[in-house]
Amino acid sequence: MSRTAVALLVLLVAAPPSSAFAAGKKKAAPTQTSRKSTESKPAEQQPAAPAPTETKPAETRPADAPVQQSEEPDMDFDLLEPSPAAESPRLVDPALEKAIATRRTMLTVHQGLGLATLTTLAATIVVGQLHFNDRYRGGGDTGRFDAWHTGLVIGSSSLFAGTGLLGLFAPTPFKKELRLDTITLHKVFVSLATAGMLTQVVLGLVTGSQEGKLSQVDLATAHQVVGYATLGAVGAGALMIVF
Amino acid sequence: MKRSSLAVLATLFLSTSALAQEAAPAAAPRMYSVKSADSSLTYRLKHKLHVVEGTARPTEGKARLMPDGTLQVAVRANVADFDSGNSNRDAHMKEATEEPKFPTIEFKGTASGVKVPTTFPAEQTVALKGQLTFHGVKQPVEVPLKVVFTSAKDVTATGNFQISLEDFKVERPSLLMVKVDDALDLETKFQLQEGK
Repeated sequence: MSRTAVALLVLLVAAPPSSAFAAGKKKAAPTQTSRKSTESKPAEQQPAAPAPTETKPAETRPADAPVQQSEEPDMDFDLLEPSPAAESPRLVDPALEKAIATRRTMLTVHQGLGLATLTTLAATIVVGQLHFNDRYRGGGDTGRFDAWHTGLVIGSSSLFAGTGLLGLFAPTPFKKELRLDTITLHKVFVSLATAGMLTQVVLGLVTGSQEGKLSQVDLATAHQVVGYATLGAVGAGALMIVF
Repeated sequence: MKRSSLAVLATLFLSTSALAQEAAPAAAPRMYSVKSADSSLTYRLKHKLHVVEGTARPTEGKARLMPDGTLQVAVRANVADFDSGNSNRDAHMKEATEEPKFPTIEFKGTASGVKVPTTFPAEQTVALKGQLTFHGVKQPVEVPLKVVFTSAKDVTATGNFQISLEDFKVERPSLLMVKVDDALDLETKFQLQEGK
């Protein structure tokens, strides 16, 4: 073997292997990028970790399989501006906390009373229809549903008013923008229902005062129609909150 | 003839080695910033009557890809920014998560074996392990991410993971006296661009 060949062999042996390039990269990383000395730890502490995934990815796992990594990731780095808000609780105005608690209590009761209103109103409509049939559709005018209907009207009206007042007067500690969303539609429907309830009370009283007159049937029919519409508005209002 | 061939080989070898030495300092970590306007965080809560979805844009997010393939990610969002399409429900979520006390949600995580591909677009699946800080509680989470390099500078990362509200000490919100499920699905869609 010639001297040149020997020299070349020596060079090959002494030259950095293929990892020399990567090693150069690793050394460069801390000096160029770290915002604090600990930031470069992943590069220094896990020098061998990426190796298996780089050398034989196809043989060991499918191409889309999650990349494996060590059990405990090193979280000692900061990429974002420091913000203690995520971990440490901020001081909150006690009045705000009280308003939040009051609102939650009032709206929880509001939901319960709302369900009770819907149920009672449905019962009022059913009994009202039976009462209507009894009076004006050949039911014999026995008046057997009169007291039931009156009782249910008082019950549903009271529940409706109570539910509405709780919703109306619940404090609003978080500012809300007025926009067309499901809660706005809920409010639109219960506003229509409120108008319907008020109309029903007036129509019911007027119908009752027209005893023996021909107009009573027409008034009772109007009362019946408005009753169904009111129930529909309350139902739609309730349905809105589940969207 | 033999000598000249060996000389050429030696020259080639030395020049390659020198090129490698020159290229080494250029292998710096790549910094990517989340483009808030094109990114989103969506929570999904299940209730007996319906499924609720709320979306927010992250306020800040960064990713750093080390030359050794280590990926570091940090993202922050405001709890108040989540919009479910119902302002009352959003207010309820703020109550449940005590937003005035803990206004932000933060994720910090790492993954390894991530490389910038040589051809684009290219897709990689990354298992990001890290910590989620929510409602003042820090919990370990693992986020499987589908990372798409649309170019060396533009990256899209999407992922889904689940957390337990009770693990984060969040009182589960309720509707009509029925509480939502404890599991909250989080869907992340991040558009990242290289640069500080």
